[in-house]
Amino acid sequence: MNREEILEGLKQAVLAYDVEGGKGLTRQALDSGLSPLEAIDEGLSKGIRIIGDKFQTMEIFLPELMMAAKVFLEAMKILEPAILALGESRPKRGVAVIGTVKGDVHSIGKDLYGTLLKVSGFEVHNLGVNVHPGKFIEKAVETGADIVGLSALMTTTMPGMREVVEFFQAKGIRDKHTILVGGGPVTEPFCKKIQADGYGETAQDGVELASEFVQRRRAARP
Amino acid sequence: MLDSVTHLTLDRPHVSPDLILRLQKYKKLEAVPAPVREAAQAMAALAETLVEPEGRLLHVLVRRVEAEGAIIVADGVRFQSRALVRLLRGATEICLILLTLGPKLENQAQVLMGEEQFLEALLLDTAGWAAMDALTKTLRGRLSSEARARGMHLTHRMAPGYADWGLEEQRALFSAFGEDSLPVQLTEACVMLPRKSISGIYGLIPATTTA
Repeated sequence: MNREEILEGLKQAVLAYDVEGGKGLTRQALDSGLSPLEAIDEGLSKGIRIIGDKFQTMEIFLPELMMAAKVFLEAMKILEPAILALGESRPKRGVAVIGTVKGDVHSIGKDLYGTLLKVSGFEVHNLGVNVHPGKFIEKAVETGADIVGLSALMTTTMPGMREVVEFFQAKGIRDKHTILVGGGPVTEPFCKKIQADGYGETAQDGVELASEFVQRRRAARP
Repeated sequence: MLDSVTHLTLDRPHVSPDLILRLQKYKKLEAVPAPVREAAQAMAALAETLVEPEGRLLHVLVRRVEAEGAIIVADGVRFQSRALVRLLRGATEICLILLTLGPKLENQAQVLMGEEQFLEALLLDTAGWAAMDALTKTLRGRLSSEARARGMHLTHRMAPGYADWGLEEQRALFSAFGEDSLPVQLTEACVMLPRKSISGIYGLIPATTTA
């Protein structure tokens, strides 16, 4: 297979949710001297972008999104050591700290969000569930997080999101981090009311928002 | 019998792979990709082995309905919701229920997520809600038959968090059971643990009222 065929194959493996095929082609890409970063950018990521578009137009649903993510992440397990061995690094889209707010113990949606962020090129720090506002601050400062993603699945725990925003304000670091909110009962008006920066109705919306905010922040830097 | 808590004996429900897929927003089941369908079938089967249904039922009298949208039931428990008052119009009794699938299914979903089996974790979690749906339907069927035999009609179920009924009223609902060893625990933030649990109220309306 030539370079173009391998890259097209990687894209198609993502579109076909073919984990083993994706792994095989990834090894083939490296064996044939293809740059691992090229395999990501020109192969796997192209497939992921198409999958993301199909999800937004409801051509596919969350299970397929997760299968495509699996193909990507399994291929990355092969590519990452090769990237390191070359002394290179995959350009990070940004750093995200995510967690379910204090009092809430729901995790599946937040974990899926974390997975999609990773696929999209974010370095993700998942703090788990029932996370105290102070922990969000601690991790955001430690990692220089661009994004702080808050999840809540209950109307009774949503005030925990406001608390996190207020903690960041009180510490004087509110403008250094973009705070995104999501979860079943969370709405756009609630997001505005608590002065968070953005609300994602779905995990994929949240990823796109995160990417947009990071781009905007970078563009605004002197 | 009124005012006594019944420990419900519940069979493990059948979990429908089709319902799992519908809950994941698939409208045309014939168009679902084979790997998703197969995973839904596998997770439905796994869910059936993991769920350990347990429940409590409490029949109580409706004492008073207040003009400002509150309903007082036996032993002074008060629920504040106009929507609930509308649902229970004409009801002389209510059934309070607590149902849980136990913690095994959600724990396994978390294990799968940790192993990066994203599809399986998602579908097993969804299978839990499909199991709860089946369990609720079975219980409703049972309560409805009992109500009919007594010349009564069973309303739909409503629970704190629906319409204008505040989620914090879970506390009042739980307290009505007057029992410390309930199979579902309520956290300070009114989260039910295990997470695959539901609560709710059905009204019992004398058939002459509904005719």
